[in-house]
Amino acid sequence: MTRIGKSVIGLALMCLLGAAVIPSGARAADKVNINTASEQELMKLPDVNEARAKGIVGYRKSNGEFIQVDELELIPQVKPIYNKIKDLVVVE
Amino acid sequence: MMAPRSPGWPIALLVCLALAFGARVARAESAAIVEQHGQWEMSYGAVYYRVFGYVENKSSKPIRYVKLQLDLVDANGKAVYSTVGYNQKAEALGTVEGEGAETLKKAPPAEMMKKIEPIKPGEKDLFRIGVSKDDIPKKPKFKTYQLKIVEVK
Repeated sequence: MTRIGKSVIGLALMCLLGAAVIPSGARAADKVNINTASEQELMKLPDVNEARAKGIVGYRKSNGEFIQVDELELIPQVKPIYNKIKDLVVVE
Repeated sequence: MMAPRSPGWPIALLVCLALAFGARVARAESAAIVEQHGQWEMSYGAVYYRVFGYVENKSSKPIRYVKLQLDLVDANGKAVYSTVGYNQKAEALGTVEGEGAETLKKAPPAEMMKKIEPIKPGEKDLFRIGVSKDDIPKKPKFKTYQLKIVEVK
């Protein structure tokens, strides 16, 4: 095998290892869609207890589906933990 | 009998349009958006997306008003909703909120203009343009906003 070929394989292995080891945040597929998630699904998010999950579902019922994730800041129970969950949720 | 049109009329029309556009651009440059921020707000149970900021009079003459256009744009950069607003001192010209707003709106344009306190040279004035969530299309969802000055007088 040529030197360049070995380097390419080595680089590819490093990338694969990096992707597996380094936490790169939630991927879109792993994120919770706050427009469709149930209270139980929302409670899987960090620091989201029953009251906070109810707050999200209640907001959705009163004001229609979320247009942007930022709207979570309008929910008093959720505002204190907004920065913890904003990258783990999505609006679809 | 109608006189035949001079062949130069399209050029004259283009020159006029170019001059008008140039004047408009020049006027827009006399004011600038110096600060802006968009956020969701809840007021009396209704949800709004509001963009706040400051415009500054960059010219050497007082400015009566600065008209701004707010575009909510989707992930592809396409506007899904657009609206206009004015600097705070000239809010009576647009969507008016608060006491006395109706009186101002009923006044003739010249009379209304007199009631507007101008922005002095170098002075900044606040602006806020709000859109009710009910008016924002649900699909496609807007991702961000774009704001530009469309008129300065």
